Amino acid sequence: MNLVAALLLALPLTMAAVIGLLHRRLTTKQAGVLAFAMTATCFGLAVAAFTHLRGLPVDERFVEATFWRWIELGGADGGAVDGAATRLALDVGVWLDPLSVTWALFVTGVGSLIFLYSISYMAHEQGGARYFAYLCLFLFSMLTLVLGSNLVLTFLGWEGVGLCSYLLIGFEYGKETAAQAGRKAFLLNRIGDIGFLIGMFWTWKLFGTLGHGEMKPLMAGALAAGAVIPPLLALSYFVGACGKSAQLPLFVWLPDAMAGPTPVSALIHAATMVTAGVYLLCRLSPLFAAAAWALDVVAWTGAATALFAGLIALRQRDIKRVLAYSTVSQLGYMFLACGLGAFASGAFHVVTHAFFKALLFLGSGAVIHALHGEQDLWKMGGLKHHLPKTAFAMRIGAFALAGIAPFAGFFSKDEILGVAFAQAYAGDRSRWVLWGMGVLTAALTAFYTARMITLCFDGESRLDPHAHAHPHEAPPAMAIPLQILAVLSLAGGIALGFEALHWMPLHHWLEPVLAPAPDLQLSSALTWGLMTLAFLIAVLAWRIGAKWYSGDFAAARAAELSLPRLARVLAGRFFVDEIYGGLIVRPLRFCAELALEFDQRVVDGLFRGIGTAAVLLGTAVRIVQNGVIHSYAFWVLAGTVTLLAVALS
Amino acid sequence: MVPQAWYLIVSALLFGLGIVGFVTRRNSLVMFMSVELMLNAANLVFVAGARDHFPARGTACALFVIAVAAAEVAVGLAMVLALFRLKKSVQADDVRELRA
Amino acid sequence: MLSERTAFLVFSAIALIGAANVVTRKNPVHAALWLVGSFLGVAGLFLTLGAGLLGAIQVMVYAGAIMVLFLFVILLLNLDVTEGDGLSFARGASFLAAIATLALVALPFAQSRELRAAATPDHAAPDASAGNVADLLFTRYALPFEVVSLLLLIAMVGAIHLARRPRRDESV
Repeated sequence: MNLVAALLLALPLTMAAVIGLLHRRLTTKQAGVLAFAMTATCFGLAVAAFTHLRGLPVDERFVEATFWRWIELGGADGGAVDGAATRLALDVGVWLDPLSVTWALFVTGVGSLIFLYSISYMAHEQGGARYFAYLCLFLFSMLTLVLGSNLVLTFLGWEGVGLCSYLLIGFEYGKETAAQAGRKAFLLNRIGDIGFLIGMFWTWKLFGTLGHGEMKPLMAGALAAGAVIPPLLALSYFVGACGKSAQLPLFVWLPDAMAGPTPVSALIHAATMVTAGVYLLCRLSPLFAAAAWALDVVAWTGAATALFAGLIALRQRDIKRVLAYSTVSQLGYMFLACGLGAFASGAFHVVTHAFFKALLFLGSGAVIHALHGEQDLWKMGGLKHHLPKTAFAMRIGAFALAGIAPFAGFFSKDEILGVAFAQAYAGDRSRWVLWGMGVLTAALTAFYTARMITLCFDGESRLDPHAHAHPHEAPPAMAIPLQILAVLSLAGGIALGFEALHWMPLHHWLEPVLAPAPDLQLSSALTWGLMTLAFLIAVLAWRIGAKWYSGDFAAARAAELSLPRLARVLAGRFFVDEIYGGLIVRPLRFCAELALEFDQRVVDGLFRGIGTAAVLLGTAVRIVQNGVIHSYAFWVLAGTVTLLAVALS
Repeated sequence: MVPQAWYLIVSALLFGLGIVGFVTRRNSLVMFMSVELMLNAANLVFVAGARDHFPARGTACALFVIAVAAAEVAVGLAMVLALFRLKKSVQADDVRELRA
Repeated sequence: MLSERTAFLVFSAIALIGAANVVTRKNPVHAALWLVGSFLGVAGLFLTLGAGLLGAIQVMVYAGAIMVLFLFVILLLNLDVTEGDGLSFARGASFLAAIATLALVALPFAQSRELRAAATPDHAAPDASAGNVADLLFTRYALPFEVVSLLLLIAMVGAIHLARRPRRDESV
């Protein structure tokens, strides 16, 4: 297992180095094939790790592979002494347990498909080899994040994926928007990272260790007593998770991140990296479970984000932005699940979301590819005649996103709503609000998904006839991943968990790692009833959305613009960027300008004054320094005479 | 015995002539000669001043002055030579700038 | 005593006339020869002061070595005899300064009776014979003596370096 673990990290890093160093020599296709082969191998390794863990007894399903001692500080006696840690010992190693292997599986699995897709998608782009080098580096960072045996390694991967995200968003760095979006993502992630860092320092102080294996038994027990410290500690990690997973109020970077190539949006900004926050919550679930009110914060943030992003998605015209806001919204669901204590349900949604959102992004990439870069939904329409396979696959993904049975998203989303309902039903009144927000968001999701699909594929064609005479179906390398992902979006949900039938393999698999969810079993009738209700809501919302936009486009557009103020607010994304601009950027800029002014006037003035004084002095003295020896001699003489006169008088 | 004051007056006159020569002449060799005159004047003061009470010391000090003068002449004339190579002139006022 | 006074007057006249000609001769060779005369006059003054050793050294080192050096350089450079006018401002200023210096030196004599009077020599003091001077140089003035030797060494090295012909200079 050590070899498998080592290869899982070493292969992507090696490949990143090889492609990165040779990126001028390799063609896009060569680099892509190399990278894809590596990713597929990694997927095989992850499967091997999975089967190995399955072979172990439930309570012993973990493998720690230590490669070398990384950092060692402090005395050998170590541990926490009187509440203060005195020693820090960190290894470079891999921690394989059901949670990390689950993440590794879908990261490498979905990753392979997206790598394959990228070979064809990037074929005509400049610097394709560089792109694959970044992707390999991303895979390495993501696997380090997931598999690292301690929090510092996780943080290393966390920063690594942030870096790769920045590099890939700004891949077309010639485009100003792309470069700016990259910077924005990087900066907003820094805010979250500070939370993560503070959390790590604090954890070390309290526990004296940062290893996943060593921390797990400590977290719940050591923290159960305190009423202040555990929630604050949990919240500092939560800030980190918010940054990475684009939750309120740090979500604004994710929609802008769509400036990167579409496969990157699929891989990093939908399927894998943005779920790192959920991974962190799951990894630290015992801590969060011990930190009562911190969990409420998580739940409310998640629900608010889900609803908020869902509202914004209603009025976006850019197909990738619709998907981006839906991603933010779905991430909100995952946080809601974790906040309710149902970490396994959150993880379940992460997995299904990875399937259908990757599918939707890749499908939209195929559409954009066919239309030579057109992303505006209002300029699409009727594409199902040109791109039947893509349309079919996208529709499956859309059903999964909308939560329509029996597609994948339905089961995971319904489970989250079920948990909220169960807690509300058990007497916690505030949970009714959370449940209501969740249901409303589900309806919104179905509506805007239907809008997107209908605007894109149905109705009259609104294409520019000159620019896009004959949109063509994607080549096989792009179509195959779509088909595989379509199958997964169709069957992935029901295969991994069907609560009403008590078929929950993923939950049982994750059970040894996660904090146990509150045990609130609803009656079978209620469970089925809720499922039916969710299904009906989703179908109804879908029907409304599809009907609204499949008819007269002009009328639909007029309707979108009919509530001017609301439409403006939604289209303007609640002006969150503008609010941040006013509250943070403008004052900062003002301070910077003040400092600049001070620097230029006072500091520079001082130095210029000194310089001018020296020049003036020099000019005055230079009159005497004429280079004539005689005049020097005369001055010496004059000085001597003066001194003599003074001395003798 | 001749009063010391007379020697001092001769010395002052010699020194004055040295000054005038140094400041007015443009030929650097003559300027050096003027310097020698002034040094001689100084020697005269040393010896005359020491005559009555410690004559040997006056001689010793004058010897040092002669040694320093010899050193000065050696370096000074070498400088004149170097200067002449550079400027084809030994006129002191032809040399006003540090660069060649 | 009359003869001593006469000697003083004669030697002073030689020294001062020589010096005046050094300053005024346009031809540096003439100036150098007049300088020899001036040095000889000063050497005579040293004799009248009872410093025979110094007089001899003056003749040998100054009138001999240093003057030969001067003449050697003058002949080596083969200079024009003529020299342009001196700097007029410097001329006026230097005369003023020289007069001021003289006045300042003369002032104490005009004021002090003691300085004008003939001094009474202290016969107990060691005279300026070679032996006494040598004693002084190796006892009381040992350190300045060594320093001067070092200075002469430095001057020698410096002079050789400065006068050495630059390797790739064909101009001289």
